[in-house]
Amino acid sequence: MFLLRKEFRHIRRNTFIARAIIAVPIIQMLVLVPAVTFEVKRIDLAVIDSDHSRASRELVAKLSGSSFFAVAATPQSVREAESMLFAGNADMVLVIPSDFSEGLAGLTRPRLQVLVDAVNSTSAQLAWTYLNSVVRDFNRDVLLSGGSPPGQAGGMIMSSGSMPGLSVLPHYWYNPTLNYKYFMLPGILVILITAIGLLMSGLNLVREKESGTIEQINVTPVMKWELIASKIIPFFIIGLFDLALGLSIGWLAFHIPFEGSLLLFFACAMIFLVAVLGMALFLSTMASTQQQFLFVSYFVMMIFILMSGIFTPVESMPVWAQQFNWVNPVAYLMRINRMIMLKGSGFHDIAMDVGLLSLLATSLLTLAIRAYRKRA
Amino acid sequence: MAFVRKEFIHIFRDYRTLIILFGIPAAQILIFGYAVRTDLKNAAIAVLDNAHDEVSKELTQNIEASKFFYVARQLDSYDEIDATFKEGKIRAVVVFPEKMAATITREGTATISLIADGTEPNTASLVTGYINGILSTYSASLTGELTATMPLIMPEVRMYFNPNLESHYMFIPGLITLILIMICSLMTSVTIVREKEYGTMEVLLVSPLRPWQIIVGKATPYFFLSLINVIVILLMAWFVFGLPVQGSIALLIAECMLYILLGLALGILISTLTGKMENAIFISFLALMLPALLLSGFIFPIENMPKIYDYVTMILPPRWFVDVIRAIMIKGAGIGYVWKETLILAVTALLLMVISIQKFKTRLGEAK
Repeated sequence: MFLLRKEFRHIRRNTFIARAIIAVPIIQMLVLVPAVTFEVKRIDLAVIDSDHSRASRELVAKLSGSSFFAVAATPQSVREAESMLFAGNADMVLVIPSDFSEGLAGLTRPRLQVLVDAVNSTSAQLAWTYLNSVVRDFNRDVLLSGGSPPGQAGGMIMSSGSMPGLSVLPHYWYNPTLNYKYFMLPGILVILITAIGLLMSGLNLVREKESGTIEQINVTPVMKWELIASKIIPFFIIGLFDLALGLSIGWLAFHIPFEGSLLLFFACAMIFLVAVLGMALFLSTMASTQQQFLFVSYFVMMIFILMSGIFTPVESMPVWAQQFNWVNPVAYLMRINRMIMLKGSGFHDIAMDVGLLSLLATSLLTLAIRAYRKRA
Repeated sequence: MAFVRKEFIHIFRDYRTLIILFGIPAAQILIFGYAVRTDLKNAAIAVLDNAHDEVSKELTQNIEASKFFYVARQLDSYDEIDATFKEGKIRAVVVFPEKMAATITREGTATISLIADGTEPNTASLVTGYINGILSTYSASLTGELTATMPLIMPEVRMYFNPNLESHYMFIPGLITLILIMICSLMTSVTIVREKEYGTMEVLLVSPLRPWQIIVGKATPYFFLSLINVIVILLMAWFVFGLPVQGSIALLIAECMLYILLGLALGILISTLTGKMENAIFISFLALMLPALLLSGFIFPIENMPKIYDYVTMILPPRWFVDVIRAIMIKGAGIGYVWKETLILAVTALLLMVISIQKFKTRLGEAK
């Protein structure tokens, strides 16, 4: 097919596109994957120690000894500490009261005050959880050294992570160390092929419209489906190529596990690409300039990606958002990718998703072909 | 100035551009405000009850009663867990040991296994945390006053700036940053390149307008549109999410203007670097969007990234601007706290402006 050859030649001739096809996956994988993480690595702690006792120093030593906390400063007053929170020099302030060691001896009930910079609610919550667990350990040590009968309070607190009575032993399957990269990498692969598929193919279509060459093709006896196929197939292949490239980078650089079937993985990606390219074609019929297309597609892409559950659990979303995901191709692939790559889910596990995604792909493509007027 | 008017007319004539210009910010705010939530709600849990006694029944009820979980399934054997996870609906399985109630009465303790699906690390740790909380509340009721008499330190927490731990406190400053850089840099670079492609730029260049006048004419409409956008977002933040500006509004607007200038200068610079519109779009998209979204600390804190990102992201203006705007909007900080970031932004803006005007001139030379 000549049209197809023409398209490929265009792409090859445009060195910028050729470079982008190679560079975009590499940059996205290597730069973004390590960066997008909620894992808290270091919490800058400011300590106001009004007690100056052995016990208070032990608590501080215990905190700075843990891998999460670093004592950044020891301000003299709460006011000074607050200004550190303002300036962002400290993430958390620990105020040790002057009756701290007396309290440990059982005379008073000391109030250990913790001030957290909570602008980022996720980090604040995690920091607070970590602090709590260190304090819990500290309590346990005090109880043990205080000579409490091990059969009762002390012993039970030691054996449980939380409180006497019941203890919870957590196991994390498929990702025992809760490595955030394993979570994000399949998601970034989806962003990658969405961006490549939607933007490149759509811009290509609109450019022909803008420069008027589409009219020249329109007056030729070429059939509509031939024209559309010639516009779509190259980007379909590019999308798959970039997916393979991205996956190999993930495998080489981050040792991402791949539990499931590669064949199934690529088959799902193909269905998804049909949906994305159909969408690109549809959006391109609505735009007359590249600028318009860019904005519309950016808008659509952003909504689809953010709603797909890439960063946040889907079930926390309100019901309308979950219903929206029935027509969101990105949400399907996001789920499918993670399940195949990390859990090794087979076809029967994701059959429902695959079915719905295929339905979506078919309808999007049909819609796009209907909307496309050869003689516009 | 007639030239500025021409640009305004161009923008307003194209209603699609206009809708996008204001539609994107509104939609983004609604999505981030309502749909993208980092907290946990309605997670599906399965229970593998080997005990079948009153303790396990009560615990299951307690889990069911919390707003975080619902018990979607009862499993019969350990071997079912893998298949359950592979279907992808269940977040965690709580495994109650055999003869749990008897063990508790005899030894005082019992160990419950919680098997969480680790593919979403954040969700997995939240699930563990909440289940732990539910179980320790139950334990406390078992042991009664024992804990009350123990000399324990109970830390008390005060969440500063965001007492209810709402995630839009983090998102709204990020959105302003993102939207501004998009409108300013992307739109200006695209319009300039388009004039070049159509050849109408040559017409402008041979007109008696000086290069800086052309630049000002191109940039002015976007300057005002961006400013209107900022105000709309701030009003939405206030009235829809109850997040008023804590600090000085004048300072906030001034910082936004500085950032808008920076964005415009960047857009003009990008347009002079490349010839083809497609390239302009791609460069802008790759150079601005993804880093602005992910590397500015807007969603993912920079402290959590590998150390090298701390240095590399220093060259990204959004990073500094997110800090500034968070400090002013949410913490209510004054200029004293953000002067360093402001200075960095100002110097960057000035530098970009000088370079882009220089570049624009040399291009004029070639065109003649």
